[in-house]
Amino acid sequence: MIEKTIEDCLWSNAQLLGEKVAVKSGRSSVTYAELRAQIMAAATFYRSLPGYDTGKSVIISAGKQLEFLYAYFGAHLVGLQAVPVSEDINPNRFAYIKGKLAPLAAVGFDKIDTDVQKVPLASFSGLDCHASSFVLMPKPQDIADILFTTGTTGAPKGVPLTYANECAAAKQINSYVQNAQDDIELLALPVSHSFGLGRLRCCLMNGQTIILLGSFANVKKMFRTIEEEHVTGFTMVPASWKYLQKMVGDKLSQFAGQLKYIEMGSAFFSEEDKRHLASLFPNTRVTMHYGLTEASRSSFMEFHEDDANLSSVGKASPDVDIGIFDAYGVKLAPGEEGEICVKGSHVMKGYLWQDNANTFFGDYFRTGDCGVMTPDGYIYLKSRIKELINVGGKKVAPTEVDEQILKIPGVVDCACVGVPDPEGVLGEVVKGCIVKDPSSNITFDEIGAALVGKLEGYKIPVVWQWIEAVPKTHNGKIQRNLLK
Amino acid sequence: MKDRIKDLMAGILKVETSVLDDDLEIGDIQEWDSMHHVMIITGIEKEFGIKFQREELIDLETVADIVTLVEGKMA
Repeated sequence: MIEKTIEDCLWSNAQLLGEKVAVKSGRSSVTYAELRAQIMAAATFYRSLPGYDTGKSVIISAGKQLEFLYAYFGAHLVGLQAVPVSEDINPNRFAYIKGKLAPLAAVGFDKIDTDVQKVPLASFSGLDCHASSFVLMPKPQDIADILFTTGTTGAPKGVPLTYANECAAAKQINSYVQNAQDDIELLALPVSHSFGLGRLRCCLMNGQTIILLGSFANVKKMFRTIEEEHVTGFTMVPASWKYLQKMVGDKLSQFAGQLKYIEMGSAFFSEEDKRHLASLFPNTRVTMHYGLTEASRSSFMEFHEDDANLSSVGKASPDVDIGIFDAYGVKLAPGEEGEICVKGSHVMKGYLWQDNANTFFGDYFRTGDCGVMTPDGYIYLKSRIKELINVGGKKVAPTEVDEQILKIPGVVDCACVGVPDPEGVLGEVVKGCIVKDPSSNITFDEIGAALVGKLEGYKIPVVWQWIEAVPKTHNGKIQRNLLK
Repeated sequence: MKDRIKDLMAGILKVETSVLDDDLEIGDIQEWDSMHHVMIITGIEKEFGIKFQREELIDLETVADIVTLVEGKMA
């Protein structure tokens, strides 16, 4: 059988590796055979929900519980489109997504006030796996997931990924990272984002064991897990590495002989940091990708192999073509600067609910990033066209934060910008520049407190400044670069 | 001392102090992620005029661990 979807692979793995542990989370674990049974039970459960029909969507709170996996893959097995979102999604974003999708249900959102049918995540725990179940193995061209990215205007953009997209991406990644079936991976990254969720797919497709850990925060627990579970694969974003450096220095390198691969991604990582990490892990395959939700991991590098090009973002991933284009869609020669565009079977077909006239140049997806390619294929990122703040790999549209701050009494105007994290961990953090009503005594702490529950924690400014006025062009466009 | 530390932590995490049981582990609640853990460490250092060593930080796992460490350093 040639597997064309991740679900096909899971089914094959359940057949071939039935008793092998697929996923561990806390004290719970599930074998490949059990995972398949639980997914089928979850699929049956969805079919019993009022209003169920194929082609509908289900918004799922993406956390590290095993039930998330059952809910996520179960949706796929009954023709539902999964919309995995962060557990701490803010109410405005939830309402926006709900408005766009008219979903069948919202899974795992006990606290959000919504008229969507709410299904607790616990409903997927202990389902009867022996009941008759009817599943539809997904077709490659159908939409598996809809992910929402942060658009520059703050309005999230709907990215539809087909089963074929996700399967192609996982094959490309596994082929580059070289993770093997007997590898055991530790995943502490959020599964609501492309990177973490992608790792889950890669490991399960490969028949590996993946261990889910809440976050990087508890370093002691993380180190204990790596040791006790004999972890051989590890993934992180640059902010995770900075955090580890701050907390425990180079101590992760005590596992240098044990870790066979590391995958990094999602934000800028300096040449110096890459060199340092490579030196700590001389025999580990230390890889880093450049990618987007729309086009998974489009390029890759390995810190030892690509020693001479560490300040690049590497070369196109296996089976991926990258071109540099000018503003008119003409492909440029090596060395010429233009927009980085990506072609491959992992690339989405186009955003939902919007005109895609400017999304592609032919078959090439336009990333919005500027760069140059060397004659031997290395891509050097020059600038990001989009005006987003990158907080530890999570993207923040400044307009979304501005909008919430402007609702707070006592604030006359404001503009948020990204500034270097004073703690040196997250890369960038959000800085709020506030114009205060002269008659108000409002403080930064009060503004921050008023944003709790309105925005996810990482979007709330941690650096503040009072300003006289927000600098704007004569057209009224905020000149954020003047506030950095 | 314990209450002072917990109040400071609760303020940084923007949760009620009552959430911070002695046995609560770093990362057990969504609010206590790595970004906020750094803020807690820095906040405690500033508030109590102390400096943590890396060997001490790697041993922290619960609220009680943090309280014990600070009390020990202040003694």
